Amino acid sequence: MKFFKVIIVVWIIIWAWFFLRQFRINENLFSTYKNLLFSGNEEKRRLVFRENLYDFIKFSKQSIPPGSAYEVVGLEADSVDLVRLVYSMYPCLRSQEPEYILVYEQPGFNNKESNLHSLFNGKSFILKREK
Amino acid sequence: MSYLGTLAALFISTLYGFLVLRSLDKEKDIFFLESLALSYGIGLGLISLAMTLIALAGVKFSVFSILTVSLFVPLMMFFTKPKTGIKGPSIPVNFKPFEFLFLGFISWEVIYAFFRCLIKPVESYDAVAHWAFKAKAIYLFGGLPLDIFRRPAPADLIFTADYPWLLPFSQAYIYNFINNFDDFVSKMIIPLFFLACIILFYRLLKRRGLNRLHSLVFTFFLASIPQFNNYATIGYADLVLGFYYSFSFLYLYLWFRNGSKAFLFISGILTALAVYTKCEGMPLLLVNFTVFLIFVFSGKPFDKRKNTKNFIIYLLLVVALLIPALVLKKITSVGLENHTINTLALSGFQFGNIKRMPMILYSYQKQFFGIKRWNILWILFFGTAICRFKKLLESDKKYLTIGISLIFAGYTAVFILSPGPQEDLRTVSRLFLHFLPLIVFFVAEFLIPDRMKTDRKT
Repeated sequence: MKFFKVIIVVWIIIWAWFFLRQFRINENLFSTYKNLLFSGNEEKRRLVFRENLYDFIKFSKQSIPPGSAYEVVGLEADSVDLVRLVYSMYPCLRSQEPEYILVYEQPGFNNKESNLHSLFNGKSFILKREK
Repeated sequence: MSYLGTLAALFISTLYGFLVLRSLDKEKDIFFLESLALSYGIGLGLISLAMTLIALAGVKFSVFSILTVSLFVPLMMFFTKPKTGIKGPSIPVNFKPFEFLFLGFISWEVIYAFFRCLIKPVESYDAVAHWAFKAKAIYLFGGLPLDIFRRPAPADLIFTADYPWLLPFSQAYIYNFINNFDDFVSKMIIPLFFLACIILFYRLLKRRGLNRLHSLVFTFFLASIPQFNNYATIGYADLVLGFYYSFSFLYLYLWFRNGSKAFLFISGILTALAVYTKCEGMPLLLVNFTVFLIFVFSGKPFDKRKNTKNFIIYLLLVVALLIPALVLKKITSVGLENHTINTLALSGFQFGNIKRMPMILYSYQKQFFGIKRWNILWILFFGTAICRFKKLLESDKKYLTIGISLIFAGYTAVFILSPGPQEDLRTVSRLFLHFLPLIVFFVAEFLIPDRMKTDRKT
């Protein structure tokens, strides 16, 4: 059973080492936890989704009618940012035949069939497709 | 208010599970805390089953419809079978210092997991794309339209059309109960599964005859595995499947070792719920069936007849519970296909696919030596297997060895068959979670000599 005791000691050392290491590698981890702990739900979402993206999502939700079809430009396909946006925008639906185009941080983006619907900032905006 | 509402919703589902468990446990073999942990999982499974039936009937979800339909099963069972008492909460009063220490370590892991989970919204990729998204859609629809994937729907939902519904249904149940969409509170489901895992694992080690200190040490090993612990916080379904599958196998294993008949039923229910949780539940179910058949055919002639009957009961129980889920899956995903493994992949199988083997083994060894994710568990597992090589296929313990070998073989076969192994191999670390408690249990079973275990009826 001495061997078992050695295993326990090694396990605890590795466990403690990796637990402490996360705070050393990510020096902001403790303050991130603190910020998250003392923030409201809205603010937590902003912190986790990245402020700019979350504000853009919120802006988009307010700018297009519920249930509208949209497409997104400027977020990588299969990225977690895109998934978060699609999730947050629901019941608006992402579609290949969109009524709106949500353009995120693509200042030069242009679509001939669309007009500017609303402007979030110089880089991000919403286009509405002409029927 | 949302937190209180969620706790109330989970209290009711757990109560339903508790009623089911009480009516199964004729011999009063299940302890109070063990009952609670099992009731939590069984209760949510029951809610999920009820929601499946409601969806198939084309009725909208409401708290009333969900609770009424799901109450039907426990009420029937409770009133048609003799009621039994309960093995009271045995509160150990004389903890030794080291036992306190490990209890403290375990408590810390549980509290830290809850903390990390509850301070964030649902944000990880699969948690959002596969589970939370569906839950939100179901809640806002007011039910599950059977043509959900064929009507205009987010394109991103469709490729997970044949994923099972337990987790989205559980989350939607909470939204219905609190009458609000709040994905901060619905996340609570997963760390509660983690807590249930910890309680059950400790209890089953005790049932296997380990003393309190050893049971606490191995429970701490399980709770402190970073990969396991992290997945309790991010909203993925892998830990939930790990709960249902691992304990379905362990209860079956304990039943093989002359455990109570209730263990057989518990194992059957948990096996079915594993299939309700993730697609991987299906191959894992086959592992349980195979191990059971090996148990039947390796017994004496008299036992063979008796256990064949038990196997049929087990099979019928699992199939009966699965029928609604399979029908729902068939209807909702008609015309769509699973992108990972399906009949197309199977028909496209060629022996050339075996060439993928080195790549698969490479990704396995990356996990085995990845102490950042697994501490020294895998090293300990293989070390134990090598040191106890002669005992691996001895007595009833062989079923544990055979079960784990079959799981590895099954998952490896899936990787060989699946069309895009390089991409899919990223999920190896997640798939290992589905049977992680079995691995720790294996180490405990073979590392601690039998002479140090209490010989008791499991």
